[in-house]
This record gives sequence, structure tokens and C-alpha cells, in this order.
Amino acid sequence: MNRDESTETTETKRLWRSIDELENSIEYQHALHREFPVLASISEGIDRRDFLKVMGASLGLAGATVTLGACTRMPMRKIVPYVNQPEDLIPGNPIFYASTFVHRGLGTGILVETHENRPTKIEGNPDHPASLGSTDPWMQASVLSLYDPDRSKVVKHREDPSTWDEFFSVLRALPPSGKGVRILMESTTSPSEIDLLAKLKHGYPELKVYSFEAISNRNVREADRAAFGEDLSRIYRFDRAKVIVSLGDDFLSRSDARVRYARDFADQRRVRKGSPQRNLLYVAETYPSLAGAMAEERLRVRPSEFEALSAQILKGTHAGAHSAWLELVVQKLKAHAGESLVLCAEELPQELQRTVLEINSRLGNIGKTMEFIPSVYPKTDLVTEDLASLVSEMNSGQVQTLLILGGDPTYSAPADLEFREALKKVGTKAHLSAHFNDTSVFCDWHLPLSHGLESWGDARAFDGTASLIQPVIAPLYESKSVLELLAAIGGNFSTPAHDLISQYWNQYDKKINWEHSLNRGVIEGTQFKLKSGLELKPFEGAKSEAKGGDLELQFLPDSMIWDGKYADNPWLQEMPRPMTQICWDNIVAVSPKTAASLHLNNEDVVELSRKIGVVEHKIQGPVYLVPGHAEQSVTVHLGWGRTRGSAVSEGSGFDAYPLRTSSDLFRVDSIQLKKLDRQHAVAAVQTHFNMEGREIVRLESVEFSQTGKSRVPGAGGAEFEPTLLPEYLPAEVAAKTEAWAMSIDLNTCIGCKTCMLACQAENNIPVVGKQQVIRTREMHWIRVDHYFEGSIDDPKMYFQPVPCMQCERAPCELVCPTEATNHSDDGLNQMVYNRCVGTRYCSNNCPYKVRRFNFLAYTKSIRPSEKLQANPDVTIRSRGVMEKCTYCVQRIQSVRIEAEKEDRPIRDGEIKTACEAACPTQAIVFGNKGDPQSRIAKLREEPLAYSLLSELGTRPRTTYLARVIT
Amino acid sequence: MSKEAVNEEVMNDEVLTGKHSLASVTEQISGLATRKPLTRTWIFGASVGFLLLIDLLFAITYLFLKGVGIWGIDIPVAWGFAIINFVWWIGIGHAGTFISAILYLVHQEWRTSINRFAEAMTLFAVSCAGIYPLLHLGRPWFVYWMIPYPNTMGLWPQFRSPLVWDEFAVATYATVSLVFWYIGMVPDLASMRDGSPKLWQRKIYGILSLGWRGNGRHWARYQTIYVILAGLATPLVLSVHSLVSMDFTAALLPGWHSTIFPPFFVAGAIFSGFAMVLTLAIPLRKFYGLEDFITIKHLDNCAKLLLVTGLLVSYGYVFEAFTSWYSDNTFEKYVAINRALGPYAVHYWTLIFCNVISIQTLWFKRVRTSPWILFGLSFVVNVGMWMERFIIIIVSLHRDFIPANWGMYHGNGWDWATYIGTMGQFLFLFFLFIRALPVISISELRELVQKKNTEEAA
Repeated sequence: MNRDESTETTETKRLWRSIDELENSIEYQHALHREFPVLASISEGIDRRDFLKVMGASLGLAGATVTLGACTRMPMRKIVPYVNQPEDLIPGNPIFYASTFVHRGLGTGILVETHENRPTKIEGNPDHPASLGSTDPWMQASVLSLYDPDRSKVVKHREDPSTWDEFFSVLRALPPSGKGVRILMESTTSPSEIDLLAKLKHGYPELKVYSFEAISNRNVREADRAAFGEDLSRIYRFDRAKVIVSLGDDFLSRSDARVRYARDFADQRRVRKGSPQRNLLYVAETYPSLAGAMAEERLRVRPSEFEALSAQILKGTHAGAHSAWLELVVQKLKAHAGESLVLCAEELPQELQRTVLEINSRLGNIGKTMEFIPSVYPKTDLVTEDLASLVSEMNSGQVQTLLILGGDPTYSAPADLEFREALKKVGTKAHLSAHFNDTSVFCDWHLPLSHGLESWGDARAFDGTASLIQPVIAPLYESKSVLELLAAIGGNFSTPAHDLISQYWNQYDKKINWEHSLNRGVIEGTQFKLKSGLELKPFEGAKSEAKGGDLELQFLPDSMIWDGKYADNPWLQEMPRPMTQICWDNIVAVSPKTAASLHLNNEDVVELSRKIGVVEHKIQGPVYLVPGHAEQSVTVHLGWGRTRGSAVSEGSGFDAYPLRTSSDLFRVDSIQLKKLDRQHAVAAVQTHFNMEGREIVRLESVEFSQTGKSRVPGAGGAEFEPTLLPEYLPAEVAAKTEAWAMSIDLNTCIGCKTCMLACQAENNIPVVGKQQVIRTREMHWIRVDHYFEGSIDDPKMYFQPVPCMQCERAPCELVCPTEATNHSDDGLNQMVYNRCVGTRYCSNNCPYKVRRFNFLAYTKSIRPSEKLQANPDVTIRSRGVMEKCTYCVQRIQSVRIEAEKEDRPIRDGEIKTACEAACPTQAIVFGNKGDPQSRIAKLREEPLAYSLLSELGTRPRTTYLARVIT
Repeated sequence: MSKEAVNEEVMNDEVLTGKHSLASVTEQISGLATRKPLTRTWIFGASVGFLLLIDLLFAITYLFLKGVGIWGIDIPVAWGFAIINFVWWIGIGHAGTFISAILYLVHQEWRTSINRFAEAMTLFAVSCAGIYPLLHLGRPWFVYWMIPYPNTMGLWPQFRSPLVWDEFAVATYATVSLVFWYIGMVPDLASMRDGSPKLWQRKIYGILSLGWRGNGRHWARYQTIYVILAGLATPLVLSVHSLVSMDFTAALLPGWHSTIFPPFFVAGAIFSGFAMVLTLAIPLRKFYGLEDFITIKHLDNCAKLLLVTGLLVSYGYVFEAFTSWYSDNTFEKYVAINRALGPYAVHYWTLIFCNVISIQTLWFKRVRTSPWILFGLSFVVNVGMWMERFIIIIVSLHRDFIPANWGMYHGNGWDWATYIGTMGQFLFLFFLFIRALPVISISELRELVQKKNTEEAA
């Protein structure tokens, strides 16, 4: 709010002489009256002459704005009112456009749902190899970032509003040789951007391009290049791996193809009657990860122990520490040579990457479970990934013009580089960014960056498949994409981005059908061919030389806001983090035992410090005890503690970057921890992680999955529990319609929370803020519960997504005094918001506590621009109203309408609920249980099937498949 | 109070002491309202009540502006102070009708001096309770949807919901209590009309007394209707709190789903009601010099009833624990353990101290006949009964079936402001009642005086 006001002031006062004048202080007013009586009169009353002058000027300005607007914002096409309805648009029916979501340069195919040209929801593109129709939390949340009211709206020159044309004059004045011009960008795989970069280098021979990612897979690629002698990208074949060993690599949540890899991994893990085979996963790690929670055997290690572990695995020995785990892993790997896969965290040093590559090579995994393709990233002579060398160039005064395209290096660069100081030595600095962030402040020019849904572009997937980014809405503000700016740097100020892309692909291959590619999102035939006959250079022996101190520190990207890139997104901020269920904050994670030895309790604020050079760097954050964390070590998540850019991210969490140096991107051998005398409250949606001996998440053996019997009442011969709850739906009515049901496979649920985000986007679920979450009033319709089992130090971990159970004998309906919650003919337990008076009795009587109540007017806090994201098919709930999962009744109805028009039954799998569609592992299946041929009916018959708390006689429609344990 | 004074009172084991004639009774009781100047005690008490009432209005205004989110309720504990206080006030409202109706029907003469203000207490307590179901709604402006009224949409309340039964039970109870209280007061209002010094007072009491002339036919009809109303009110004493308890028993929730609740709730209600009668009677007799009418005998009898109902309630606690163990149900057993050892263990043991241990002192006549000890004990019981509702509602809800949902509940400033505000409402109404209406039934007392004087003469 304050920022907006100050912007207005600066907009109206382009020229000023003193701070007093700018602020229009009383003293200044007095001074004005004393010294310039003529000027004073203008501010008080205006005569005819002055009026005409001012009007003339403002008309001129208005004209300029219109002209400006016309060339930047409005597409130069005819506007046709809906007098004649456009052929492809039926008001009320959504249109889907294929596009691509880019994370760390790599693309994942998406389908964007638009309502009357307003993007509202993102689905995965089934044709895209990295998505296969599924999504991850960032893809789901990106639609909200489009409408972020804190986005940069205008070009700024030293905090003053400016225009793109003024900035282009800077570009026009670049030296022809490109001497002293540097571009710093984020990772990219975009073929057209790489093409433009190559042309730029051609035009400006002395220009250099750098790229920087705070969380980078550079070490992996460098190791591969050193080992094979060429730039390569990896493809992991989880579909072929029977045994997977991970050294700190959470491939389920942060690999380059996490959605695809999660699917491939889960496909090998679906235990059904008649197919008991499943892959085996062994994980060694410091901080419990999604992969660690799925592991058969999880080993807690300090960050410095990975070298020793990998050396032992390489030698096939299991002496010393962790011998039991090592023995098991070595034995399993040997038994599955050629169908196993050993992974290691991407930030671990190159030498370690090389050792792990050697292990895979000796197991014969290369070419089988680990394949290589030519690098999807630009060639190293085109784009240098070394930020340190850029900083030394800046420090030595070689850089006159620095163009930073995206990112926030001032915030996220390694602390030893002192990027901010180096930036001061650069002549002209321009920063293209979606937010006015820490880097923007130190730059001369701030340029607004377009959102992915507003811009044209392209990107490659992990396997090289190229896909197109097509805008689904005209840019909301005066922003440009990286591609457009690269073209402008090359002197091309006028070609629309659409033409840049289409021309590039036309040149790339004449056979490419542009319309078809745009329609499908994926450009066919662009997948890279597998490298064959790769020669691995001789291995020089495992160099294990991690020291490890008394207390080690590990840095991890945050599972929702990554390196800080997504910190402006309220959905991601409020998404409970897997393992801790904390949102709106990061924590200093320690194991319960280490915490006890350091006399630490939850929410105690501690100071972590280390010397970098001669300077003592310190950070402060709240401690949180994380069962399963390694001893003698702490973990902090990056991306928090933003101070600028967005009202959402400011003030949440603490910034851990000040402790991170270029040599210690992943771990710090020794850290000082000091307990401070204060507390910081954190918001956790779950505080009790013990199942108390109740059968909430059922654990079954593999044998049971083959020989047992379903425990879903009424399925597989299981008896109905006796119940006093009334039958709402007479059997004769129920027989005539579908019986919607859902099955959730706890064996393949990886706990990633994509379902929660998909549900939030689909069902207009408001964000309530940290204080309300502390009071346990979060609104998520589907939640992912998390349980620990066994010892508090080294527990087993389980996830359980809990949507509404849609009980056939619903206890909530019985107690509602106004019948606001009742049963539909197809067996849905529905909620009539209009009829709800808010007694909350239904929630008290819900054994699953899936009902959410609008304690306050939460939807009022949705900011005006964010309202555009709302799904028009779902009611916005007012305060005082109960709400809950509806099985996406709006999706059911739209499919039913289509089916009725075509006079046919609804096909199995035709309706996908938002959570089901988003789930990367397809753990959620929705359908009609009344149809014995449907997937859901069969899943309910599985031996592993059970209903939650079925002894209460509620007869839930949502059922689970038990987790299989060895 | 000196030791001698206590002993002297103990010896007068009667329901009426001192020398009184028919005229002196009328004079003393109706004089409280119509002739005597305002006392300092009254001004102080009424002011406190009024200020707290203002606090209530303030809290309600803010509540209606912002929503129930200003309170401490959350998911899983979606009911908090509002329902605790509702049940607490309704419970307090039980003693009045119990005294007036049941004791009348079983010819307990000693009820005479305390029935009027006990009934008033009932009405005011029910009025305090009655606002909570409205306040606790998410959308209070639609409260009328819970009432069956004919409408063009053909929509009715959902009659299977205990909340609907509850609303009928409380509304019936409030109506019958009001009518019973008013009818019982008609002869006294006529006395007030006749004795009031000012015209406007005579006019008001005249209207209220419905043209009562003390005619024999009037008395005959009065006696008939009073017996009928007493008969009508009697089952209500049992039904109201039974139905309130069904708000809980009808649910699946362990700690609520219990067949013992209806009688257990009724016993608890009468227990808390008698505690409140003592809380009010002891200062009243002291500050208004009514020791002759509300005697040690009355206090002793109330204390005995307190002990009996307290023992019933204690039996309830024992059996709640026993059935949870005997059921061998995971959830039920956990509720019992969680009450005694969980995060709200302090509340539970406070409850046991207040409702089980403290009342054992009532076995001693010395305690039962010491007004100020009884006064303190009545407070303890009031606190204990509030704790009981806290335990039932909060402690059952905060840890139910699925451990991932478990949470905590804390009443915050707005919860307390509303609770204390209804105390203000109660207090203020009570002080108005003392000032405007006969606090003791004049006509019934005159019957007693007549009887006593006749006996003495004979």
C-alpha cells in the first residue's frame, strides 16, 4: 500500500529539487510561498491561462499514454464484440491451451484452463514426456503468480517510472564490439533463446553470457563432462530400476523431471493382487525427504558421510559405521547389477558425483537405468555457468554494462562472492524481474518480466523434447519476456515474440507443423537421440575427503518456494511442508537427540554463525525438532527471509544464504550454534505424528496383498459394520445412478502435496495466513497427514492424503439443523453453502475432521487481481459457512452434461477430480464403484483395500490401499 | 458473624423466624421494591452488572461485525466457550423450576421463601443461555432457519438434528418458566399495587396484577392453575437438560457418545442450580435483612440437596471412567486417559476437587448451617460445573479419532468478554428484579405466618 502511494508521488513529480519538495512537507510549502509567490498561486487556485496550459500538457500526456499502450499492450488485431459469438468460444465453457512450465530452464508440458480468456487452472499435458498429464506444486501454483498484485508493472530507472523506449536507448548505445557487456541469466534450455544468444555473440564478439542458479545441477554435469569428455544430460530409467540407492538425492521432489520420475518410480511400486513385484529403495540422508519416507531402509547420515558411504559401496565393503545398511545395499546392488540405480544429491562435489557414476558403471547400469543424451543446456562456450568469474570481472572493472535477466543474485549468490559489492562497480546495470527485489534495488534499470502464461517461448524437457510456451492472456502489465529482451539486445526491437518463435522453428525444421505443435504443446521429433558408445575415462579412485565437525550444517531448497523464486506465492507459502507440516516459516531442523544435548526446544531461536573470510556471518531462526534427522547436524532451507518484492514473502522465515559459500553450497563442515533468549512461533497444521496404535495408515505385508481380503465394507465379501446412522439414499435410488468413489494408494503416495495445491486452485480455497494457521484454521479441502512410527530418532514415515470420505452413512448430515449438508442421488455428501447457518456441529461429528469452516471472512483477503484466478464453476464461500471436499462436483456435472447430450453412460476415467489429475504418481483413482468393470470397483476389491475408521459404520466412499512394508 | 449468632440461628430450626404478622410480611417485602430508598449495595451491584452488560453488548457487536473467528474456536474444537456457557447457564436455570414445581407438588413448605427468586434466577439464567446459540452461529442473521416456519420453498429444519430438539426444549422451558413465575406473582403484584405510595407505581402494578381482587373465586382458580403449571413444569425440569445432553450423545465422538448423559446432565444441572441458589440467597438475606424468611433451615436443606446431586454427579464420573475401560474401545479408553493425564489434566482434577471432594464437607451439619462457608462452597461448585462442561466439550473434541487432526483450544479475550458479559446481564436483571418485584412470595409467606400464628395461639 505504502509502496503504491510513493509510486504515485514519484509519478506525478518527475522532477524535484529536494527531499522536502518530494515529500511536500509543510516547511517546503512555507518556503515556496515565501520565495516563489507565483508558484504558490498555482497550487492554490488556477486561472484560465494556467488551466489551459495544464490541460494542454495533460492531454498531450494522455495521448502519449494511449499511443504507448497501443504499441505495448494491445495486440494489433481487430476486436470483435460478442455480438457474433467467436467460433471456438462458448461462454461458460473453459478452453484449454497447451503450454510449458519452466523450472530451472527445463520445460514440463501444461494445459492451461481458461475461462473467458482468463487462465484459472493448470493441468499436466499428457503428451509431454516430463508431465504425462501430471503436475507438481509449482505448476499448480504458477497460475496465482500471474495475478500477483506485487508484480512489477512499469519500467523503472533508479526508482522513477520510465518506459521501455528509454531503456532501449541504453541498448542502442551498447558498444558494437560488445566490450564490457555481460548478460547474467538463469538456466535455459530454450532453443530459440540459445539461438538468439548465439546470434548475439556473433554480433557482439566480446559480449559474454553467464548463467546462475542458486540450486544448480552443475556438479552433476561437470562430473559427466569430465568422465565422458562431452556435454551430456542424464535420463534416469526408474521404470527399469529394481533397486534404487540414493545418497541424499530426493529425486521425488527436486530432480529435473520430478513429475515423470515420480510416475516411473510409482509404476514399479503398485502392488496389486497378482503382481506383488515392486522396486526397492534405499536412502541415506540427513534431513528426511520424500524419497527417504518411501525407502525400505533409510539411513541417517551427517552431510559429511556421503564420501565414506560411496567409497564403501564402490568397493562393495561394509565395514565400520552403518555396516548393516551398507551390507544390505551392497548385496541388493550386486544381485541387481544392470537393473539398479545409484543416485547422489546434485550439489555434492564433482569427485563424489564421479564415484557414484563409477558405481553405476561397474554395476552395468549405464545405458540401462542411466542413459545419456546430448546436453539440453547451451554449450559452455556460449553460456558460462561460473558466477565467480563474472564477479571477478565486475570487481576488476571490466564490466561496463550488466544485464541481469531474471533471478535475484544479490539475494541468492554465495556469500563469499559479495555480489552486491561487485555490482556497485558496474557502470550500467539492468534487471529484468517479475518483482522489484533485492537485485533490482541495486540496479539502474528495473524491467518487468512477463509471466510464463503471458509470453511466447519454448523449452526442452529432460529428454530433449522441445515444447512451446504460448501466452493465454495478453501481458497484464508493461512487461517483456527474456526472449523479447534478448532480441532487443540484438537490435531487434519490433518483431513480436510470436514471430521470433515461429520463425526459429520454421528454420529449425521446415516439416514442423506449427499449428499442430501449438495445439499439442509438444514439437514432435525433437527428442534427443540417446548417446551410444560412450567411453568412460579411467576412474582415479574415490577421493573421500569430507572433514565433518561437531555440528554440521546442510542447505536444502525449500520444497515449496525453492530457492526463493516462488516465495511471492501465497498458496505455496501456506502449503504445509512435508515432514514438518509447517508453513509460512523455515526452521533450523535438528534431531530430537541433538536438540536435547544442545538444550533446545521447538521454537527456540538460535543463532548459527561461521566465518567467511574474515567476516563472521550469522543467521537467526527458530529450532524445530525433526524426527529422522541425522545427529550432530542441522538443516536449514533456502529461499526465505525475503525483504523486498512481495508483501507475501516479506517477513516470513529467515534468510540462510549468508552462510552459504561457493565451496559449501550443500554443507558446512562446522557451524557455531548459540541459543538466544527468545522464541519464534511457527505455524504447523499438524502437531501430533503418532498413530497411537490406531489403524489409520494400515501396514500390510506383500503376502497379505496376494492372499488377504479387502476390508472395504461391502466389497470383496467384507461385511458391513453395524450402524445406527440412517440410510440417506434409498437403495432403489442409489441403484439407478452412479456411485462415485475414490481410492488412494498409500503405497505410491509420495506426500508431495500436489493434490492439495490442485484442489486449492480448482476450488477457490482461500489462504488464511500464518496467525490463522497457528489457530488451526487452514482451509485445505484435502490434506496430507504425516505419521512417524517407531523410535523418535529414526522413525518410519508414512503419508496419508485425506479428502472427504463421502460417507454413505454420513454422521455430519445427521446433526445439521438446517439440512445444509445432505446426500445427492449419486451418493455425494454435498454441502449447500446458501443453507448453512454455521453451527459447526457437522465438523464436530466428522470423525475424519475434513470439514473446513470460514471462521472469518477469509475470501475478503483475496487481493483484487487474484480474484481473476477464481474458478467460475465453484462458489466463493462467505464467512460463517462450512465447506469441504465435493469430489469436484463441478467436474462431475460438466462430464454428465456431455454424456447426456451424447446419450451415453459416463465412461470410466472420464471424470478426473483435481487431485487425481494432478497426482504425479496416480495414487488417486476416482470413478463409479457401481460399475463392476470400473477401476475403482476393482481397487475396492483388492486385498490391500480398507476404509478409514470403518468400525464407526460410516461406510466411506473414499477408501485406501494399505502401505506395503517388508 | 460471631459464633453466638451462628449458634442462635442453628437453634431456630424453622422456616420462619421472628415475630411477624400478615401486615409486617407484606410491609417488609413489598417495601423493598416500592418504598425504601436505593441502598448503596444495590447501586454498587447494579452498576457492576450494568457495566458488564455493556461489555457484553460491545463483545456481541464486534462478534457480529467480524464473525465467530474472533473467538478461540478452531478445527477440531469447533465449539468452545459459547456452548460451555450455554450448558452452564441452562444448568443453573434448573433449580428454580425444581424448587417451585417439584417441591411444591411434594408439599415441601420450606420452598416458599426461596421459590420466587429461584424462579427469577432460572429465567435470567435461561436468558443468558439463550443468547449463546445465536451468538455461536457462523451466520446469526439466518437463525430463523432453525425454526419450522412455513415458507414457499418448502424448506424445514432437519428434525433429526439434536440442535433442533434442543431449541424446542429450551424455548418450551423458558416459556413455561416465565408463565409459572408470573402467575405465581399475580397476588403479590396486587399487594404491591395496593401498598405503593405513588400513582405511577400503582398503575404499573395494577396492570401487571391482571385485576386481582383477592376474591375467593380468584384464589380457587389461582390454586388450580398453579398446580397445573407445576405439573407441566415438572417433566420439563427433566427434559431440558436431557435434550441438551443429546447435543452430545447423538454424535459419534468418544466422550460425547454416552447413554449415561441424560440423567447425568439433569443431576449436574440441579447440582449447579442449587449452588447458584445459595450464591444468591446468602448475600440477599444478609443485605436485605431477610434472615427471618430465608432461615438456616433453608440453607441446610439446599445444602443437603447439593450433597445428594453432587453424589449423583460423582457417580457419573466413576461410571464414565468405568464404561470407557469396560468397553475396551480404543477411542473411549483414550478419552478417559486423556482427561486425567492429557494436556487438560489440570481442568479435570479441578473438576474432581470442586464437584466430588469439596462437597463431602456437606456431611457435617456445622458446614451446612454456616452461611458463609456455604457461600464459598457454592462458588466452588459453580466453577466445578463450568469445568465439567469444558471437559466434556473441549477435551473430547481436541483429540478424537485421527491423531493428525488433534489440536488445542484456548478461550481468548473475546470469549471471556462474552462470558463475563452474560454474568453482567444476569446480575443486572437480578438487581432490577430485587428493586421492582417481590423477591419472596408474599401470599405464600402470609399463609405460613397465619399457620404459625394459629399454631402458636393453639
